[in-house]
Amino acid sequence: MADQNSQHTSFADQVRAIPGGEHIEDCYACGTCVSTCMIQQKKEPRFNPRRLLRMVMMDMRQEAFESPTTWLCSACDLCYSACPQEIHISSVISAVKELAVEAGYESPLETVSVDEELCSGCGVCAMACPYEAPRLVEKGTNGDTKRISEVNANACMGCGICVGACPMGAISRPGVSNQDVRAQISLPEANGHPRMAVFVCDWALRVDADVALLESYPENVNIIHIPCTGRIDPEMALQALDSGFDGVLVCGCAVDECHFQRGSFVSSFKIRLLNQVLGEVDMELGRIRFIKIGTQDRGRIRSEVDDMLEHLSALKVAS
Amino acid sequence: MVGDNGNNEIRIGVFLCHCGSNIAGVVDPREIAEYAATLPNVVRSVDTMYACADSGQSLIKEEIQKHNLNRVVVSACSVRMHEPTFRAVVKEAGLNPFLMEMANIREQCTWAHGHHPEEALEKAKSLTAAAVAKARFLTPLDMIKVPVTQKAMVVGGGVAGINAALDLADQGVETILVEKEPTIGGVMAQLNKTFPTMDCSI
Amino acid sequence: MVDASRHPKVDVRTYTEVERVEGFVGNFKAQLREKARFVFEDRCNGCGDCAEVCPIEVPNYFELNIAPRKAIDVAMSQSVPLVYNIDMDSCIECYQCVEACGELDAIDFSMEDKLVWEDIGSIVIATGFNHFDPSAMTEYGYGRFPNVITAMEMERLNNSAGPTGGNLIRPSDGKNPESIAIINCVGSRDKRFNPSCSNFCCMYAIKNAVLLKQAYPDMELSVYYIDIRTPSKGYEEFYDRARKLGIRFIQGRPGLITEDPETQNVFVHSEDRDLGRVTEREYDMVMLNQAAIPQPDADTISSVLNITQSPGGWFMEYHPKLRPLDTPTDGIFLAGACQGPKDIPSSVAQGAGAAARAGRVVHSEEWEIEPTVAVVWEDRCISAEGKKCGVCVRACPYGSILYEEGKAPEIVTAKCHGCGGCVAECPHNAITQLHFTDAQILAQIQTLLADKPEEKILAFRCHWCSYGGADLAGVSHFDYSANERGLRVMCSARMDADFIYEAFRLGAGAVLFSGCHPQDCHYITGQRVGAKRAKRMLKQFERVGMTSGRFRIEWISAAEGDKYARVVNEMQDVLDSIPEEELQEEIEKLQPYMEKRARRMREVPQIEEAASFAEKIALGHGTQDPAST
Repeated sequence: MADQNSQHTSFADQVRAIPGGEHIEDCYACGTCVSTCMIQQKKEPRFNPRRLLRMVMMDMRQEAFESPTTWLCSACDLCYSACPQEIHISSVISAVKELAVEAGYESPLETVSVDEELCSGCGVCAMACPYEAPRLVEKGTNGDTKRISEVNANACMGCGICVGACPMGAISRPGVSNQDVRAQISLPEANGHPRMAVFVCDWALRVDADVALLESYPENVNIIHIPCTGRIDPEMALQALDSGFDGVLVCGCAVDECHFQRGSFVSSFKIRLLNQVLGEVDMELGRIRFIKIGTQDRGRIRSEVDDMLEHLSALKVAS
Repeated sequence: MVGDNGNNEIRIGVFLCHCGSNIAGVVDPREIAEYAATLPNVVRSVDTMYACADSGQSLIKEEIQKHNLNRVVVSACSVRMHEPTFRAVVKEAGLNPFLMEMANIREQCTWAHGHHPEEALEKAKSLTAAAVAKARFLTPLDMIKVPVTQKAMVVGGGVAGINAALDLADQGVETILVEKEPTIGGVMAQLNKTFPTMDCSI
Repeated sequence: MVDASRHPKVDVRTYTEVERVEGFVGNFKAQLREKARFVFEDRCNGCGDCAEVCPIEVPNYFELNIAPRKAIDVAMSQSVPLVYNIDMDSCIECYQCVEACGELDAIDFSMEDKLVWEDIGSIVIATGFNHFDPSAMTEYGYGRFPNVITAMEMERLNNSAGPTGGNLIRPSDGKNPESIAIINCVGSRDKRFNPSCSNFCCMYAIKNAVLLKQAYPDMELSVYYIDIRTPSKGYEEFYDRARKLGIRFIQGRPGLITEDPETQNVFVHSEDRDLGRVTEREYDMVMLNQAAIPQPDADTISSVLNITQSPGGWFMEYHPKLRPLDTPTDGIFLAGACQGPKDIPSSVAQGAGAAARAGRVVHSEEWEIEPTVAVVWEDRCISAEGKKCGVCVRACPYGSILYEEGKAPEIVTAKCHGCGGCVAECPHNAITQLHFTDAQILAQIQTLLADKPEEKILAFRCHWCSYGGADLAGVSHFDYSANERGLRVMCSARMDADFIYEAFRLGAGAVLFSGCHPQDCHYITGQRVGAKRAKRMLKQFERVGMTSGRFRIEWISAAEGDKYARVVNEMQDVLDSIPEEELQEEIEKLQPYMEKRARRMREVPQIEEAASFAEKIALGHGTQDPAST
């Protein structure tokens, strides 16, 4: 893609030439994209799509390539649905990222790695990934060639959906390997109250107050942080029930607001399936719940937790 | 069907407007004028800085009288802009206003093809020639005079409509003010105070 | 308002709609529908006894449906005229009102809509604007969060004449709010809804903030904005004053509003651009400053009165700078926000301006109209020879052709508007249009196609719309192919089939047939007459093997300069895509067909002369000595 004249073509022209990068000059800098963005508020205060667009227009290549905005955007497109100028901002950012990669920059994100020994080359990861990061390649080891998954580190957003999807347990990401997640599961002192494991998507709760609210149930609730509900392995829920919890609550994003596009959809499907299986082995229904918290559902987590606890109490009395 | 100024010979005058640099900045009106001079029945072909200005208008009138012109082509801007102007000019010079034809070499030529001056020049010549061709077959016409009902109707009783109705009425015109709601006032009647003077809306 | 009702020369007709308008400048006939009020205007004294006894309450539109009205009521206490009316959709016909009215006997349940005709010399359109409904913007939660209200709702809640008597309360719990956020550009400057700026809302936000601050000095007030626009006299000073009062102006358009489910307080999430970070602020109430949008019945009004609409639906003025109050129809003028969002000072000014323009017409003894009307050549008409025809009558949108079998039709000049539809439709070329005769137009066609016709795009344009569109393309400096050669007639109805055949016979590369959109046609149904003909020709050309795209039909309004440029460029692309020899071959192959089709035109008076005159121009040498310049 990099042409010889890139030094003479403006940055904006280069971005515009990449499909998706066309509409940058429509931006009138209202800041709506920033106000909807979860990354800015939860992870990286320097993340600012409006400023990245400005850097493109002002020919600030290096700053743009080094900006966290270029690398952290996971294309959830919350900003796109709110943008009054209908700029598909994640496409513009992805165009900048493409140019950054060409220029030799690398993603600073923690990405997944594949254990080549364990990988069976089934391709489930490639199907699960929202970013087309894994692809199957023929790789030779000791004279044998084998089909295995290879992950493009600049495309991977580290959501862990593939980690949860891999049937061989061959993919891991530092900090959120199966062991790491399991290590967070610990039974609270209950004093007779129902106990609940709550898997919280790091992106689902918009407001700090909502997270604090969860922590206000120390005797009932064990919070397990995951990068996306898509990361969930149904086994983890079973493990929690096994170890003495009365119920499992998985708290994810509204389907069209998932930070990693597809995670919330994948996990809601997994949990429904799990509930079906549990029903078949005569387990009481409703011990595992999946709830979706939308960006406008401020404070709803309280009623959801209360409702679940009430349900679990009723089950306890019944038994 | 010919017969105007008591003159059976068709004598066309062509006037090329520079419109400052709006036209002349892209094509050379003198070149078009020279070309137009070669067209049949064209007896005068002149360029002028602003055809619509006083000087341009006087020039057209003088030329009509001096050269006994009986058709006029003004190659300048849009008919939506200055057709009434040039009709009035030829009328003042004693010609029937419908013996004037315009070629639009500004909006529809130099403004649209500013980056292609050569093609613009060719097009301007062609548009001027077409106007000359039409002018050859123009006939004098009289305006149709119709009676006027001395009554006005204002549709909509908001702040603009009420003011229009009152102004018309103060001019002595019988005015019907039609409002679809049961009361006049429109949005304004719903407002509290109004900016910037903060007085009452009703 | 009261002045209008008191003025002896103003006849206020409320609850009345314009159904039809016929005629022309100085001589309009308007049909008005006086909707049944079920109350006699001349008997009702506005005492309100009827409303007092009425048992039915319905939402009051005037109060934005936040307060009730009775089934028999007035919109507001200052209504002009102060006459009650019954909303029959909600009335249960208990007749208690009739009893209460007693001897006045002003109520009549048998009343029906009345249709009346009025003779009118000139018309001012001042139908105003409407407000954008923000419930379409889910991110702001209007309709879901009770304490998110619209600007107009605020207007009534904070109004001593409003339903709360000016006691500002918030809808969720009736408490007086201590903090209010005002959000600008709700549905305006927003490509999803209305891309344009609504003109007055910045000032409107400042006005409301100032009013609130004056009434409640301790109230926390924030205005969220993209840009503050204060371009008129005294406006910037007003903005200054607002800041001095302690009103906060936050640059950053909120992307989200959330609500605390317990307190029902509202949180506004926005970037504060000056701080460069996202803020999430809690308020008791949020006011959404809605976009101004065209009236929902603007389409109906535009078709009743033949007014063009700009993209977005506002009524189109004749010329944006030089004739801002005129419509393309002589004798019809625009005032106020129906032409585009406007504040009160501009609306008042336009009202006065339109009155002056309309006055010019009605003060004249007589008005001159263009003599570009249709004329019949009796000796060519087959009806005069006793054969059946009447094609011209069917083409006329105005019923201005009187036809009797066995005679040549008679055209009533005062009724003819000069669209030229009958001229083009007449199968025997027995009608001509003054100032747009076949000979005149043929001379233009031949001249425009004199040189390298195969490279040219001959564009037929109607005067009112597509010629204006071409003008706008130029005014906007949209680059389009310079191979275009434009030719103007009054209406697409005048674009004679013979002209198209002749153009292709001469070897034109491409021909554009363009006029108004059907609803915008200046001659009611003229465009339809032209469209039908053009579509028929398109099919013929397909059948005889013309490359698709060489003949194109497009409806382009005077506001669509971009479209005009795009269409011409696309036609150029079509020409560029055909190899030169192939195009030449196609032109030669089709020539006999075109020749045959256009043959009858040769019999029309002056045509041969026009053709030979144009030929001389084509050769480029005059008959006389070149005049000196």
